[in-house]
Amino acid sequence: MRYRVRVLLVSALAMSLAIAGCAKNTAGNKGGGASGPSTQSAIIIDKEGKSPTPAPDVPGAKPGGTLSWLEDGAPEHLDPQQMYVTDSQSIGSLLYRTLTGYIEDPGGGPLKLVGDLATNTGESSDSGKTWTYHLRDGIKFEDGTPITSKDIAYGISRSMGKNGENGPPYYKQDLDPDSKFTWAKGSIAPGLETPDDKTLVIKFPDVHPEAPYLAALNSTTPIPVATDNGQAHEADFVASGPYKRQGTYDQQTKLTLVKNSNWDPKTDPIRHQYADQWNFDFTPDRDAQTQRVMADQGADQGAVMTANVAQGSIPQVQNDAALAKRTIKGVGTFVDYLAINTTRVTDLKVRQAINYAFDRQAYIQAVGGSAVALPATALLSPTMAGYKKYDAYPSADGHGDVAKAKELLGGQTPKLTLCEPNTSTYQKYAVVVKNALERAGFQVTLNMLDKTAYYTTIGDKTTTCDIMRYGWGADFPHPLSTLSVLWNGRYIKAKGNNNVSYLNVPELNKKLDALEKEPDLNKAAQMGGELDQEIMTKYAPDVPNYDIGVFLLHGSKVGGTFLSPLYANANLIDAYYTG
Amino acid sequence: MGGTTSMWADGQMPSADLDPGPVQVADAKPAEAKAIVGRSPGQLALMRLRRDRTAVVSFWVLVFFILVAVLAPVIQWIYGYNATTTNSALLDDSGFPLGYLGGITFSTDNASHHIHVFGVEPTLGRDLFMQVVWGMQTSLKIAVTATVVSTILGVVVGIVSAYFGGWVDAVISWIIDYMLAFPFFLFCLAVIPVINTRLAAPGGCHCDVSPDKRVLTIIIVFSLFGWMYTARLVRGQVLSLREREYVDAARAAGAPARHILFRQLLPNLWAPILVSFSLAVPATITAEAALSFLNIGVIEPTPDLGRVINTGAQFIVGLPDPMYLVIPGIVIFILVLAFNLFGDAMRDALDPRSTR
Repeated sequence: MRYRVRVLLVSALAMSLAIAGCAKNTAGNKGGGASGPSTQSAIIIDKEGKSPTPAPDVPGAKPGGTLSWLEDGAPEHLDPQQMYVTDSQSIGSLLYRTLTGYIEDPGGGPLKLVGDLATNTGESSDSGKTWTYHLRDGIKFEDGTPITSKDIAYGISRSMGKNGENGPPYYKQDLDPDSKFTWAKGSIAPGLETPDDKTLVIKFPDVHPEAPYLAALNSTTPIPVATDNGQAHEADFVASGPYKRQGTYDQQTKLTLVKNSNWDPKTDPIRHQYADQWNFDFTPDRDAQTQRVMADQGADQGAVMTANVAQGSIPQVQNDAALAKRTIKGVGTFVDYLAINTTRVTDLKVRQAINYAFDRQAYIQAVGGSAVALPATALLSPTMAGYKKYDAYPSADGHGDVAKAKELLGGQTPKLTLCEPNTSTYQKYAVVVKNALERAGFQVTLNMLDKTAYYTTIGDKTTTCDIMRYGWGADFPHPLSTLSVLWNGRYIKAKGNNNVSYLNVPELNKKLDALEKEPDLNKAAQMGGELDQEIMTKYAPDVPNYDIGVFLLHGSKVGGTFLSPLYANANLIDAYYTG
Repeated sequence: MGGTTSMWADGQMPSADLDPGPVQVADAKPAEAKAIVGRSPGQLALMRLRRDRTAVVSFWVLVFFILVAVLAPVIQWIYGYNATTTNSALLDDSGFPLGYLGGITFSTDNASHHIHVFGVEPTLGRDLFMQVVWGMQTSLKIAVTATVVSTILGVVVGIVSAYFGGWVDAVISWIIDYMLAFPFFLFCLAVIPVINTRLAAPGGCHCDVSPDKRVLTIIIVFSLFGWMYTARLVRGQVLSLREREYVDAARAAGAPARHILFRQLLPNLWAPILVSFSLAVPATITAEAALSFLNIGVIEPTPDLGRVINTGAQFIVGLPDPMYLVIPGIVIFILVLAFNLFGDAMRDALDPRSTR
């Protein structure tokens, strides 16, 4: 899943220098950020469909009022089959229903996968190749027409065509591995069968135990063939969730959602419909969002931010009890790595030395501190089911173990080329890495690549980069969505690689294949945690940098919301207006 | 300009091929004091400059900055701390400098055991004073080199264009207009990454482009886009000079074009060239700083004043560390102001009758 990067934005110079620089900074805000969990319990899969409908009320919630969402720029896509970025998925949680879906726990407990439009998470047969879904009664589109299995089958098929090319690739890869299917309006992909209006059968050519997770992707949003208006669907969409679009959507500045009267809470185990209206304002940048929500005036009392609190305001928010109460903070889904090109840095000892020499604490300070970056030592995100916290290359103070690195190098001074995208921010990070590694005797050359060509360059198998900055956010809470994608050597191709450490160890590939085929999802989660540690210990293909931290504010009249572990934004479906 | 140039021309005509020129002649007689001293236009201009207090102050400020830039290694040796050492222990958890005013400290009782007279950089904890000193060297190196190259180009093109006239002038003027019509920064945004990629290993593999090559790219682009103003100015001057008697005389005496261009005309053009040069340097410094805003300027780890200001701007919002922008901002402000004031003063001195 791609991530809307919360960048440092250069804004107009508000030259009110007054007192700010004159106070002594005594590091009073140390440790004021979020901390990640040490382990993530496995996921709860509601196979029997026992989750109650309607969804139990959020304590204290009341209906009515208007809530708003502040974001720097409109999401690229609101066409459900095109949605792949976290901001659109958050908005989509109000608009669209899918075959299965997640219930997020406000207390930070494990995610629960339940049937959404379907009564349960799917029944598998044929040892995991065939998945059958039965739909709930009373499910309708916003215009009152019932949702049938054909609408879902069409939605999945549509995701495999040109109106889904920006969405997740999974159904296309898994249903049609040989790319034989060509989508045209109205066509249904092979493997999708609808024996009646209430039953959908998905037949994969291969074993796919992770199918219940795939069914929760927005690809399975139902689309009636008659309403498929192609590209225009981005602005003119049909809602199936508790809210629907009001007026026209200009795809640039704002979107207004109002209650969808044809959504029946009795059919939905996940969502609520508390606020009368949701206003999405796609104009304020990070600084404007910070200032507006901190000021907490008028309509902004019901607002949630999407960008992290501006770097300069974080200490103020941390030290102000009233503001601290309004923060939404914690660890997001995105992990930042330094990938080591194992085809060029072939010596395991050198790769381990890089891990020991890396100064994680300095890197996190350069990124902006523990509020926005949490030290990562594992490859999986702490939000991933089965996450296990470990540190294969520990150091006493988080600044690296230079002595250990020197010992591993044994007097060598390897030359390394460090590649980063050429932006002022990444230039700073590159300097941190360079200076940290040079402490141990490495000779590091910076190679700042044109940022638009960055992923193309490092994704080319013949790249001359030795160390590359890379980031990953998992698409669904199955460890294969990180581990297999990034470290299974079977998937290495000539260009466009995600496995930019180019790790290709047959023994590991076999274990990852087994992970992909494991029918028990909870067991798979556990296997993932173990494999994560094994990869770092035995192969050291990456240096985990940090888990991205979320540090948002919401207005004083927003209740019920919390950090969504899926989308790293405020959870919208439990939010209500406190009046 | 008329009077000055003809005086200058008269003085130089007979001695054009012979050094010493008139300046040395004047210098030879200081002993005969109190007598009526004949002064060359150059001496007159120098005298006017010396009387202008703004010119004197800005001159010494410039000398100071140039010395700082040239002597950066010496300053580093005296100061005892370099520009590239990062130290995260000087920063708080969010990456902001500890202590007062962005970490300004004159005591060694801190994590680096060294004084930091301008404070330290947020996020990295490098010493801001050394960053500014070395950054000034980079900025001045780029600005002065690019301006010298573009001025030479401009002078040659301008003289050739005006002296030959006719179709040569038409073509060159057209090229000048064409180049002036280019939006400079848009062009930089398009061309600099392309040149950098070309400079990389053959095949355009996005391989290493060393910081030195990037500096070279910037100098080339600035030179290619800075010569038109000088060329136009020189062309205008030459147009008014080429019909003068001394030029006619030289032509009648059978002097070759090269001689007339560079021996007869050029010496009369020094005033406008010097003025345009001294005003182009600060413009180039600010343009180079602007490139950093577009991420096509000088990259880490080469220190650069423009880039420091660019990153400093990010620490103004919410005011976590305003000194990081204020200090380098003041330095570049004084530097550019001094260049501009000195350029203005020089124009006044060389051409007292011109009006601003």
